[in-house]
Amino acid sequence: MTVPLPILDSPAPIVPLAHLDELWFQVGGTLCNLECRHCFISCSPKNHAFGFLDLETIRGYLDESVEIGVREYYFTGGEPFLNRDMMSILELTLTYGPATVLTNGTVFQEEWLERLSRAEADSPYSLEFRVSIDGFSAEDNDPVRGPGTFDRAMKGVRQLVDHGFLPIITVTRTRDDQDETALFYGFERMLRNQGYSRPRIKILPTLRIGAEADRGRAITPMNASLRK
Amino acid sequence: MLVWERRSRNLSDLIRYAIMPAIPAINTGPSARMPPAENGTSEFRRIAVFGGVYSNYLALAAALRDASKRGVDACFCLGDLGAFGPHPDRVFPLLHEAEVQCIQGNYDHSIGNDLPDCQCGYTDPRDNDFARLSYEYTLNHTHLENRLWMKEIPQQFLVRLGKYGLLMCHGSPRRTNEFLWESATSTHFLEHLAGEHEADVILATHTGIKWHRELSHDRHFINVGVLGRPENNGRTNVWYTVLEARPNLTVDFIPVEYDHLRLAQEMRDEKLPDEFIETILTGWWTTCLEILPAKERKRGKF
Repeated sequence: MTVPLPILDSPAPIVPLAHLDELWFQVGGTLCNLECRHCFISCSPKNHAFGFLDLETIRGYLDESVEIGVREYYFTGGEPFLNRDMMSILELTLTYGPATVLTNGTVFQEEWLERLSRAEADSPYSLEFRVSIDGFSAEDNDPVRGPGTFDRAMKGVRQLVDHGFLPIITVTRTRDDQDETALFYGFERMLRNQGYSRPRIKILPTLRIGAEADRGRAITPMNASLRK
Repeated sequence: MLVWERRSRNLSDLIRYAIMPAIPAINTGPSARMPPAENGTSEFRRIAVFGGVYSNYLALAAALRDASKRGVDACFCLGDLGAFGPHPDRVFPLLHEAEVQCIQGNYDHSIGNDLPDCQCGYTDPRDNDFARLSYEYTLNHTHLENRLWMKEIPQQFLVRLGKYGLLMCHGSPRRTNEFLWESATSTHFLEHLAGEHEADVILATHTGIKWHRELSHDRHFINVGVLGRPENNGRTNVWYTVLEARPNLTVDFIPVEYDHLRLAQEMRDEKLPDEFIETILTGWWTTCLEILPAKERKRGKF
């Protein structure tokens, strides 16, 4: 339903931005190498609605952020690591403040992680990786995120751990029948078995917009193949 | 019993003068203004500031003895008197006898108001279990008189140390249970807080790990550390902070050794979790690790 805007006979009032705690950059635009069924902004390899942010654009906003006292910086997409400026962007950001990057963990290259490991060591600030995995087995994860994505994301987690990072596994509760505590311990067990001895896990609800709005809510491994 | 070494001036009068009513923990209104120093005697020169006692009365007694030897004008505690350790009521006589000026931490607010939990905000189910055990023990072992006292203490102090206006808070000047970690807090955010609250020095605790960052115009942010448990570095000592205006600010983090073996035994006797006792004995945090940013987490063992 469309709601008409009221006709304004004077300019809308402007509220100056005095302070911002978190500055989020959609650095990967809407482009992603995956096409997750619950993506709230419907990112995909074909979604060019919003492109990559480049280093100089980011630099301008980082400079602007100092005046308004931004506490920390977040990077998301799409998949941020499809943006070839990403390493330079994170290196630059770590001279301003702490940085967190949300990634699907499937496209890392060793030399990128070596660079980022050095950048974090040289900075007083933390560089956090949040790797999205939505089930603690391929059977649970892949129907939502795509065939083979569980193994590829877990390879990314191991790469991060091998480079001295402690990635936060970000789990979206994609099914209504999932018990949050069981999900947490299931992930913890799986990650330890895979060699990640200090697993960090965050469980989040889905945002029911974008692709998620079009998805049936009770997706299961059994019926997933029957859907689109 | 501990006897506080009184300075030549009347300490109580000086503290009453120096402390202004606090602004609320969640500050949505205009900032409180720092009281001006009216003359040479109306301000502190050297103070000790503690945080997070967590019922560790043995470390508190050791820190008070140490601060007394250092000839400080006054001692301040930035809250979280209970939690984690045994016999929470043993902390209060020490604080009162030494005239330690205390502000309310999130734990004190919860215990004082008989709230259902500590407002620690964990999401890890294991951390929540430990937090619940600790909170129930502390609530059940804190005398009503002490709970009522905690309910009434202010949430912030404004204090003058030489030429510096100090704002003392628990987590941050804007929220009692906000975590300000060294590796997760930009310098310009701290500049913003100092400007917004018109403070030369912001003093906080809450995270359990001390740190100090110098800001522009000779302003500072200082996390004073905690007395309640070691700071996840494999050492059993705890920390407090001495600040002095000479006239420029000096900040000394003071390690405190105390009878941690006795504390561990008392925790065992009180059937507190083995994981807590391990932290006291080893200096490594074993619980509530989810709140740590990457850099601080990597420095620990678990």
